Amino acid sequence: MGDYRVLLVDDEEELVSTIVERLSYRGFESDYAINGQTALQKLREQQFDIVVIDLKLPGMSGNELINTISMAYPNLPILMVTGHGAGDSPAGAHPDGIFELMLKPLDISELVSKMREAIGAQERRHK
Amino acid sequence: MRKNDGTSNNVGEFPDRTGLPFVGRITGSVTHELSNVISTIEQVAGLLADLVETNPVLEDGLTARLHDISGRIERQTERGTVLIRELNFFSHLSDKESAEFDLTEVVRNIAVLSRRFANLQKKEILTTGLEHDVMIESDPLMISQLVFNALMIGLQGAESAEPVTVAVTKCDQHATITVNSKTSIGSPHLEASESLQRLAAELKCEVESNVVTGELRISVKCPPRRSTAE
Repeated sequence: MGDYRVLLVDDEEELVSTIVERLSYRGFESDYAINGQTALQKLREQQFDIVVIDLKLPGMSGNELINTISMAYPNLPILMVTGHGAGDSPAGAHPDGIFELMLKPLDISELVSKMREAIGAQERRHK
Repeated sequence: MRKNDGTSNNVGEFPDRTGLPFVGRITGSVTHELSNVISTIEQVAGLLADLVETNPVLEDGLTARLHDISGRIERQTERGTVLIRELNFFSHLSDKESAEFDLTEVVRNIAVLSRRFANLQKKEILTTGLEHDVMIESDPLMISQLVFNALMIGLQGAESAEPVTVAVTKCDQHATITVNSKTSIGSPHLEASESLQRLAAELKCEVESNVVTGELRISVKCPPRRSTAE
Protein backbone atom coordinates (compact mmCIF):
# COMPACT_ATOMS: atom_id res chain seq x y z
CA MET A 1 0.00 0.00 0.00
CA GLY A 2 1.41 3.38 -1.00
CA ASP A 3 1.74 6.46 1.17
CA TYR A 4 -0.58 8.58 -0.93
CA ARG A 5 -3.29 8.03 -3.50
CA VAL A 6 -3.21 9.89 -6.77
CA LEU A 7 -5.68 10.09 -9.63
CA LEU A 8 -4.13 10.68 -13.04
CA VAL A 9 -6.33 11.99 -15.84
CA ASP A 10 -5.05 11.65 -19.40
CA ASP A 11 -6.63 10.24 -22.55
CA GLU A 12 -3.38 8.48 -23.52
CA GLU A 13 -4.11 5.19 -21.77
CA GLU A 14 -0.79 3.54 -22.57
CA LEU A 15 1.04 6.53 -21.14
CA VAL A 16 -1.02 7.03 -18.03
CA SER A 17 -1.15 3.32 -17.12
CA THR A 18 2.65 3.16 -17.36
CA ILE A 19 2.98 6.15 -15.04
CA VAL A 20 0.58 4.48 -12.60
CA GLU A 21 2.85 1.44 -12.48
CA ARG A 22 5.99 3.55 -12.05
CA LEU A 23 4.41 5.52 -9.24
CA SER A 24 3.61 2.26 -7.44
CA TYR A 25 7.38 1.74 -7.04
CA ARG A 26 7.63 5.18 -5.48
CA GLY A 27 5.10 5.04 -2.69
CA PHE A 28 2.00 6.13 -4.57
CA GLU A 29 -1.10 4.04 -5.06
CA SER A 30 -2.64 5.39 -8.24
CA ASP A 31 -5.64 5.11 -10.46
CA TYR A 32 -6.34 6.74 -13.75
CA ALA A 33 -9.16 8.08 -15.88
CA ILE A 34 -9.08 8.76 -19.60
CA ASN A 35 -11.66 11.54 -19.57
CA GLY A 36 -13.27 14.06 -17.29
CA GLN A 37 -16.49 12.16 -16.69
CA THR A 38 -14.67 9.05 -15.55
CA ALA A 39 -12.39 11.15 -13.37
CA LEU A 40 -15.36 12.72 -11.58
CA GLN A 41 -16.92 9.30 -11.11
CA LYS A 42 -13.75 7.93 -9.54
CA LEU A 43 -13.47 10.96 -7.28
CA ARG A 44 -16.99 10.24 -6.02
CA GLU A 45 -16.17 6.58 -5.40
CA GLN A 46 -12.64 6.75 -3.98
CA GLN A 47 -10.45 8.97 -1.79
CA PHE A 48 -7.44 10.63 -3.38
CA ASP A 49 -4.76 12.88 -2.00
CA ILE A 50 -3.99 14.63 -5.27
CA VAL A 51 -5.15 14.78 -8.88
CA VAL A 52 -2.89 15.19 -11.93
CA ILE A 53 -4.78 16.37 -15.01
CA ASP A 54 -3.73 16.68 -18.63
CA LEU A 55 -4.95 19.90 -20.20
CA LYS A 56 -6.10 18.28 -23.44
CA LEU A 57 -8.92 15.87 -22.77
CA PRO A 58 -11.71 14.59 -25.03
CA GLY A 59 -15.17 15.91 -24.20
CA MET A 60 -14.84 17.91 -20.97
CA SER A 61 -11.63 19.92 -21.25
CA GLY A 62 -8.86 19.84 -18.66
CA ASN A 63 -9.73 23.40 -17.63
CA GLU A 64 -13.42 22.56 -17.16
CA LEU A 65 -12.51 19.49 -15.13
CA ILE A 66 -10.19 21.52 -12.92
CA ASN A 67 -12.91 24.09 -12.25
CA THR A 68 -15.41 21.35 -11.40
CA ILE A 69 -13.00 19.55 -9.08
CA SER A 70 -11.90 22.80 -7.41
CA MET A 71 -15.48 23.60 -6.51
CA ALA A 72 -16.50 20.12 -5.44
CA TYR A 73 -13.25 19.22 -3.64
CA PRO A 74 -11.63 22.52 -2.61
CA ASN A 75 -9.02 20.81 -0.44
CA LEU A 76 -7.79 18.47 -3.15
CA PRO A 77 -4.52 19.69 -4.68
CA ILE A 78 -4.33 19.62 -8.48
CA LEU A 79 -1.32 19.44 -10.78
CA MET A 80 -1.94 20.34 -14.39
CA VAL A 81 0.07 18.81 -17.21
CA THR A 82 0.33 20.43 -20.58
CA GLY A 83 2.17 19.89 -23.81
CA HIS A 84 3.82 22.66 -25.74
CA GLY A 85 2.90 25.37 -28.21
CA ALA A 86 0.55 28.26 -28.23
CA GLY A 87 -2.50 26.09 -28.67
CA ASP A 88 -1.83 24.10 -25.55
CA SER A 89 -1.08 26.78 -23.02
CA PRO A 90 -3.82 27.59 -20.54
CA ALA A 91 -4.55 31.23 -19.86
CA GLY A 92 -2.26 32.47 -17.09
CA ALA A 93 0.67 30.65 -15.58
CA HIS A 94 -1.25 29.08 -12.69
CA PRO A 95 -4.98 29.13 -13.30
CA ASP A 96 -7.17 29.09 -10.22
CA GLY A 97 -7.17 25.70 -8.52
CA ILE A 98 -3.80 24.60 -9.87
CA PHE A 99 -0.93 24.02 -7.49
CA GLU A 100 1.61 23.61 -10.25
CA LEU A 101 1.78 23.48 -14.01
CA MET A 102 4.05 20.81 -15.45
CA LEU A 103 5.20 20.26 -19.01
CA LYS A 104 5.18 16.99 -20.90
CA PRO A 105 7.14 14.79 -21.14
CA LEU A 106 6.94 14.24 -17.41
CA ASP A 107 10.03 13.35 -15.48
CA ILE A 108 8.86 10.81 -12.92
CA SER A 109 11.12 12.10 -10.16
CA GLU A 110 9.96 15.65 -10.70
CA LEU A 111 6.33 14.52 -10.72
CA VAL A 112 6.80 12.70 -7.42
CA SER A 113 8.54 15.72 -5.91
CA LYS A 114 5.79 18.13 -7.02
CA MET A 115 3.06 15.81 -5.78
CA ARG A 116 4.68 15.48 -2.35
CA GLU A 117 5.13 19.25 -2.25
CA ALA A 118 1.49 19.87 -3.13
CA ILE A 119 0.17 17.34 -0.64
CA GLY A 120 2.50 18.68 2.06
CA ALA A 121 1.30 22.23 1.45
CA GLN A 122 -2.30 21.11 1.70
CA GLU A 123 -1.65 19.18 4.93
CA ARG A 124 0.03 22.22 6.49
CA ARG A 125 -2.93 24.44 5.59
CA HIS A 126 -5.22 22.09 7.50
CA LYS A 127 -3.16 21.71 10.66
CA MET B 1 0.25 26.98 -54.92
CA ARG B 2 3.74 27.44 -53.61
CA LYS B 3 6.30 28.32 -56.24
CA ASN B 4 9.80 26.89 -56.14
CA ASP B 5 12.24 28.68 -58.38
CA GLY B 6 14.55 25.66 -58.38
CA THR B 7 17.62 27.15 -56.73
CA SER B 8 18.87 25.29 -53.71
CA ASN B 9 19.43 28.21 -51.36
CA ASN B 10 15.81 29.30 -51.03
CA VAL B 11 12.44 27.68 -50.73
CA GLY B 12 10.32 29.80 -53.05
CA GLU B 13 7.62 32.13 -51.91
CA PHE B 14 4.05 32.02 -50.71
CA PRO B 15 1.99 34.01 -53.23
CA ASP B 16 -1.18 32.47 -51.76
CA ARG B 17 -1.43 32.02 -48.00
CA THR B 18 -4.92 30.58 -47.85
CA GLY B 19 -3.71 27.01 -47.36
CA LEU B 20 -1.10 27.80 -44.73
CA PRO B 21 -3.27 27.89 -41.58
CA PHE B 22 -4.54 24.47 -42.61
CA VAL B 23 -0.98 23.17 -42.83
CA GLY B 24 -0.26 24.74 -39.46
CA ARG B 25 -3.28 23.14 -37.83
CA ILE B 26 -2.49 19.67 -39.09
CA THR B 27 1.15 19.98 -38.14
CA GLY B 28 0.26 21.33 -34.71
CA SER B 29 -2.15 18.51 -34.09
CA VAL B 30 0.22 15.78 -35.23
CA THR B 31 3.09 17.17 -33.18
CA HIS B 32 0.82 16.97 -30.15
CA GLU B 33 0.18 13.31 -30.88
CA LEU B 34 3.84 12.60 -31.55
CA SER B 35 4.65 14.25 -28.26
CA ASN B 36 2.41 11.72 -26.54
CA VAL B 37 4.10 8.89 -28.41
CA ILE B 38 7.51 10.07 -27.27
CA SER B 39 6.25 10.56 -23.70
CA THR B 40 4.92 7.00 -23.67
CA ILE B 41 8.16 5.54 -25.00
CA GLU B 42 10.08 7.51 -22.41
CA GLN B 43 7.90 6.26 -19.56
CA VAL B 44 8.08 2.66 -20.79
CA ALA B 45 11.88 2.95 -20.93
CA GLY B 46 11.76 4.29 -17.40
CA LEU B 47 9.57 1.38 -16.35
CA LEU B 48 12.19 -0.97 -17.78
CA ALA B 49 14.79 0.72 -15.58
CA ASP B 50 12.44 0.52 -12.59
CA LEU B 51 11.96 -3.22 -13.10
CA VAL B 52 15.70 -3.74 -13.27
CA GLU B 53 16.13 -1.74 -10.04
CA THR B 54 13.48 -3.73 -8.20
CA ASN B 55 14.67 -7.12 -9.45
CA PRO B 56 18.39 -7.15 -8.81
CA VAL B 57 18.83 -10.89 -9.31
CA LEU B 58 19.60 -11.04 -13.00
CA GLU B 59 22.24 -12.74 -15.09
CA ASP B 60 25.69 -11.22 -14.99
CA GLY B 61 25.93 -8.30 -17.29
CA LEU B 62 22.21 -8.25 -18.03
CA THR B 63 21.46 -5.53 -15.51
CA ALA B 64 24.04 -3.21 -17.02
CA ARG B 65 22.81 -4.08 -20.49
CA LEU B 66 19.21 -3.27 -19.63
CA HIS B 67 20.26 0.02 -18.03
CA ASP B 68 22.17 0.83 -21.17
CA ILE B 69 19.18 0.05 -23.39
CA SER B 70 16.90 2.13 -21.23
CA GLY B 71 19.37 5.02 -21.40
CA ARG B 72 19.56 4.80 -25.18
CA ILE B 73 15.81 4.92 -25.47
CA GLU B 74 15.69 7.94 -23.18
CA ARG B 75 18.33 9.80 -25.17
CA GLN B 76 16.39 9.32 -28.38
CA THR B 77 13.16 10.36 -26.79
CA GLU B 78 14.83 13.53 -25.51
CA ARG B 79 15.97 14.22 -29.04
CA GLY B 80 12.50 13.56 -30.40
CA THR B 81 10.91 15.77 -27.78
CA VAL B 82 13.04 18.76 -28.75
CA LEU B 83 12.25 18.31 -32.44
CA ILE B 84 8.56 17.95 -31.83
CA ARG B 85 8.50 21.01 -29.59
CA GLU B 86 10.23 23.06 -32.29
CA LEU B 87 7.99 21.71 -35.04
CA ASN B 88 4.95 22.54 -32.98
CA PHE B 89 6.24 26.10 -32.51
CA PHE B 90 6.83 26.31 -36.25
CA SER B 91 3.34 25.04 -37.02
CA HIS B 92 1.83 27.99 -35.17
CA LEU B 93 3.78 30.60 -37.13
CA SER B 94 1.08 30.59 -39.80
CA ASP B 95 -1.71 31.29 -37.30
CA LYS B 96 -1.75 35.01 -38.08
CA GLU B 97 -0.48 37.05 -41.01
CA SER B 98 0.43 39.90 -38.75
CA ALA B 99 1.40 39.53 -35.13
CA GLU B 100 3.67 40.88 -32.47
CA PHE B 101 6.24 38.27 -31.59
CA ASP B 102 9.73 37.69 -30.28
CA LEU B 103 12.12 37.53 -33.23
CA THR B 104 14.73 35.64 -31.20
CA GLU B 105 12.26 32.78 -30.70
CA VAL B 106 11.69 32.50 -34.45
CA VAL B 107 15.42 32.61 -35.19
CA ARG B 108 16.11 29.99 -32.53
CA ASN B 109 13.35 27.80 -33.94
CA ILE B 110 14.56 28.00 -37.53
CA ALA B 111 18.17 27.43 -36.44
CA VAL B 112 17.14 24.19 -34.71
CA LEU B 113 14.94 23.04 -37.59
CA SER B 114 17.77 23.77 -40.05
CA ARG B 115 20.35 21.77 -38.15
CA ARG B 116 20.01 18.75 -40.37
CA PHE B 117 20.67 20.82 -43.49
CA ALA B 118 23.89 21.98 -41.87
CA ASN B 119 24.81 18.45 -40.75
CA LEU B 120 24.39 17.14 -44.29
CA GLN B 121 27.01 19.67 -45.38
CA LYS B 122 29.20 18.85 -42.38
CA LYS B 123 28.67 22.36 -41.08
CA GLU B 124 27.20 23.84 -37.96
CA ILE B 125 24.74 26.62 -37.17
CA LEU B 126 25.44 28.66 -34.06
CA THR B 127 23.21 31.31 -32.56
CA THR B 128 24.10 34.37 -30.54
CA GLY B 129 22.20 37.26 -29.02
CA LEU B 130 19.07 35.24 -28.41
CA GLU B 131 19.05 35.72 -24.66
CA HIS B 132 16.78 38.76 -24.64
CA ASP B 133 13.40 39.30 -26.25
CA VAL B 134 13.38 41.32 -29.43
CA MET B 135 9.77 42.09 -30.23
CA ILE B 136 8.71 42.93 -33.77
CA GLU B 137 5.41 43.14 -35.58
CA SER B 138 5.28 41.28 -38.86
CA ASP B 139 4.25 38.03 -40.53
CA PRO B 140 5.85 35.36 -38.34
CA LEU B 141 5.86 32.67 -41.02
CA MET B 142 7.38 34.85 -43.70
CA ILE B 143 9.99 36.16 -41.28
CA SER B 144 10.88 32.56 -40.49
CA GLN B 145 11.23 31.90 -44.20
CA LEU B 146 13.48 34.94 -44.51
CA VAL B 147 15.69 33.62 -41.73
CA PHE B 148 15.76 30.19 -43.33
CA ASN B 149 16.70 31.56 -46.73
CA ALA B 150 19.49 33.66 -45.24
CA LEU B 151 20.77 30.65 -43.32
CA MET B 152 20.78 28.46 -46.40
CA ILE B 153 22.78 31.09 -48.31
CA GLY B 154 25.19 31.29 -45.39
CA LEU B 155 25.55 27.51 -45.32
CA GLN B 156 26.17 27.22 -49.02
CA GLY B 157 28.76 29.97 -48.93
CA ALA B 158 30.53 28.70 -45.82
CA GLU B 159 33.79 26.85 -46.11
CA SER B 160 33.58 23.28 -44.97
CA ALA B 161 33.67 22.72 -41.21
CA GLU B 162 33.24 26.41 -40.48
CA PRO B 163 30.20 27.35 -38.45
CA VAL B 164 27.51 29.69 -39.68
CA THR B 165 26.35 32.04 -36.96
CA VAL B 166 23.04 33.80 -36.80
CA ALA B 167 22.55 36.68 -34.42
CA VAL B 168 19.71 38.99 -33.49
CA THR B 169 20.41 42.53 -32.41
CA LYS B 170 18.26 45.52 -31.70
CA CYS B 171 19.36 49.00 -32.62
CA ASP B 172 17.15 52.05 -32.30
CA GLN B 173 13.80 50.77 -33.38
CA HIS B 174 15.03 48.14 -35.77
CA ALA B 175 15.77 44.51 -35.20
CA THR B 176 18.55 42.98 -37.26
CA ILE B 177 19.20 39.37 -38.10
CA THR B 178 22.78 38.77 -39.15
CA VAL B 179 24.05 35.58 -40.74
CA ASN B 180 27.83 35.27 -40.73
CA SER B 181 29.90 32.65 -42.45
CA LYS B 182 33.53 32.36 -43.44
CA THR B 183 33.48 32.02 -47.16
CA SER B 184 35.93 31.82 -50.01
CA ILE B 185 36.25 35.07 -51.86
CA GLY B 186 34.85 34.54 -55.30
CA SER B 187 32.28 32.05 -54.08
CA PRO B 188 29.13 32.25 -56.20
CA HIS B 189 26.95 32.53 -53.11
CA LEU B 190 28.15 35.86 -51.90
CA GLU B 191 25.07 37.83 -52.83
CA ALA B 192 21.72 37.45 -51.19
CA SER B 193 19.49 35.61 -53.60
CA GLU B 194 16.87 37.36 -55.64
CA SER B 195 14.26 35.35 -53.80
CA LEU B 196 15.52 36.57 -50.44
CA GLN B 197 15.51 40.14 -51.70
CA ARG B 198 11.91 39.81 -52.91
CA LEU B 199 10.75 38.24 -49.66
CA ALA B 200 12.47 40.96 -47.68
CA ALA B 201 10.86 43.64 -49.84
CA GLU B 202 7.44 42.15 -49.24
CA LEU B 203 8.09 42.26 -45.51
CA LYS B 204 9.46 45.80 -45.70
CA CYS B 205 12.84 44.56 -44.49
CA GLU B 206 16.17 45.71 -45.83
CA VAL B 207 18.77 43.17 -46.87
CA GLU B 208 22.49 43.86 -47.07
CA SER B 209 25.05 41.31 -48.03
CA ASN B 210 28.77 41.92 -48.25
CA VAL B 211 32.05 40.14 -48.04
CA VAL B 212 34.64 41.65 -45.79
CA THR B 213 37.82 39.74 -45.12
CA GLY B 214 36.20 36.53 -46.27
CA GLU B 215 33.06 36.87 -44.16
CA LEU B 216 29.64 36.81 -45.71
CA ARG B 217 27.22 38.95 -43.75
CA ILE B 218 23.56 39.06 -44.53
CA SER B 219 21.73 41.62 -42.42
CA VAL B 220 17.98 41.79 -42.42
CA LYS B 221 16.62 44.92 -40.84
CA CYS B 222 13.04 44.48 -39.73
CA PRO B 223 10.74 47.46 -39.34
CA PRO B 224 9.87 48.62 -35.84
CA ARG B 225 6.67 47.70 -34.07
CA ARG B 226 3.81 49.87 -35.25
CA SER B 227 3.06 51.01 -31.69
CA THR B 228 6.57 52.42 -31.20
CA ALA B 229 6.65 54.02 -34.64
CA GLU B 230 3.48 56.02 -34.08
